[in-house]
Amino acid sequence: MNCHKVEELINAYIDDEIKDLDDSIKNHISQCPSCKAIYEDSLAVKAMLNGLDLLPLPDDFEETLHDKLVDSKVQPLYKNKLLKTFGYVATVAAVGVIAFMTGLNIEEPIDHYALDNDYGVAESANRTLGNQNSAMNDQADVDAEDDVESDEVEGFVIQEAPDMDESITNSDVNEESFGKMNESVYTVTVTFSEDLTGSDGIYHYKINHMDDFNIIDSILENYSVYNLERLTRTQLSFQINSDDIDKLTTELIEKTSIDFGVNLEFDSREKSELIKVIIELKEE
Amino acid sequence: MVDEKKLIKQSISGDVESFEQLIRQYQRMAYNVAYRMMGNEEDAKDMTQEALVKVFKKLKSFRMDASFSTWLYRIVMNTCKDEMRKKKMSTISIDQSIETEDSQVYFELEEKGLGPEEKLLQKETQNLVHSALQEIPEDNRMVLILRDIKNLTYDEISEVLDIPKGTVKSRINRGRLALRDVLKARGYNISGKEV
Repeated sequence: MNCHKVEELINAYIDDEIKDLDDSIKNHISQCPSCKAIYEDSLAVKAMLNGLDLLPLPDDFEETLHDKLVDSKVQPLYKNKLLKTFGYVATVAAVGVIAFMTGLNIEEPIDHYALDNDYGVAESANRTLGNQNSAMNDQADVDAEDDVESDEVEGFVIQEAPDMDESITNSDVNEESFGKMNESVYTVTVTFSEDLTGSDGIYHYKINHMDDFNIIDSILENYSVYNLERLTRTQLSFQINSDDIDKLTTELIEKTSIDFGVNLEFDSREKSELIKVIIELKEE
Repeated sequence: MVDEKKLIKQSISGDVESFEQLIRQYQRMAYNVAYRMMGNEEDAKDMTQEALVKVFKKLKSFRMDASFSTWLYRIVMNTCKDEMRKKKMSTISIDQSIETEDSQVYFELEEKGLGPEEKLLQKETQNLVHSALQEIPEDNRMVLILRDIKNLTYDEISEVLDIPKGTVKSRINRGRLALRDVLKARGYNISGKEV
C-alpha cells in the first residue's frame, strides 16, 4: 500500500470504519515516518475533540423554548388561510373560470383572514381538503405540468389551476409520502414581471426540504401581497410593491440554500409600483 | 421509557409537553453541536431553539421508519448552516481569529476530579481547540463535530448531512489535518505540550 492510499484511509482506520485493510495500514504506518506522523497527529486531534466537555443547557433554555413552541402553534393558522386562498382559486378554476391576471391593476391587498368569512366557496374547498398541512407538504410531489394548460400572458406562462378534485385525492397523503419530501431538493424559480436588473428577470434559488413552502409563507406574512393566485400545485403568482423587492430577494437568499442566486439591488424608483412575481417549486 | 413513536404522534397533534419530552434526551447534545458550529453560546441557544421549533412544526413530514435523532440533527445542522451563511453575507469581513473569552466557555471541570492547575490547563486546551475549530472550513467542521463530539459513524454522518460516505471520509481527512495545522500555527504542540 502506498502513502497516498494510506493517507486517504488513515482517519477511517482511526475511526474504526475499515476492518479489511487494518493490517496493511498498520504495517505501512510502522515503516513510513511521514504516514506515522499524520496518523499520530490525526489521533491526537481526534482525542482533543473527544475531550471537549459537554456544556450544560443555558438555565432558561427550556422555559424560552417552551414559549417559542407555544407561539409556533399559532403559525399554522396562516398556512391554513393560505390554503384556503389556494382552494378558493382552484375551485373557481374548476368551475370554468380561468384564473389569471392581466396587467398590473392595483387592488386592495388580500386580507387572508377575511377569506374565511367572505367566501363560502373557500370554506367548502377547505373542508374538502381535509388535512391542510398534508396538502401543503405534498405540493411538489405531483408534477403539475401534466394536468394544466398553459397560456402566454405578458411574457408569463400562466397556467390554469389543476382540477381540485384530483388535488384533494393527492393531498390526502400518509406519512410515507412525506418521507419522500425528506429526500428532495427543490429549485425555486422566481420570475419578476419585468427586466429589473438588466438580465432576464428570472432568478433561481435552491431550497431543501426543510424550508419548502415556509419561504412562501413568510413572504406572504411579511408583505402586502396583491392578486395572489395559485397557478398550479407548485406555482404561485402574486404582486408586491416594488419597494419590497430588495427585502424579498434578500429574504429568499437568507431562507434558501442557494447555489446561485442574486441579491437584487434595484434602482430606487420614483414611485412605487406593483411587480408581479411568480414562484415555482421544482423537484430536482 | 415512553415510546418515542407515541410521543411523535402526540407532538404532531400539537401537544407541546409531549414534544418537550420527546426532545429532552437530544436537546443538550443538539445545543453542544450548535455551540461547536456557531462558536458562542448565544448563537448556539438561538439556533438550537430555532431548529427544535422547526422540528416541532415539521414533525408531520417525518418518516416514522427513519431515525428521529438523525432527522433532528440534520435540522440542527441545516439551521446552523443557514445562519452562518446569513452572517457571511451580512458581514463583509470578520476577524477570523476569535479569541474565546473566558465568559463564553463553560466547561464542567468539576466532573473530572482534577486539581486546580490541571483544570486550568485543561480549560486552556479546550478553549484553544474550540477556537481553532472555528477557523477550519465549515463543511469540515461539521463532520468533525458529528464524528468526534457527537460520535456518529460515517454512515450516520452521511445521512445527517445528506452527503455520500466518501465525502464524509475526505472531509474528515481534511478537517483533522486543517485543525492540526491551525493548532500548530498557534504554537500548540499536538502531542500536548506548549512549544
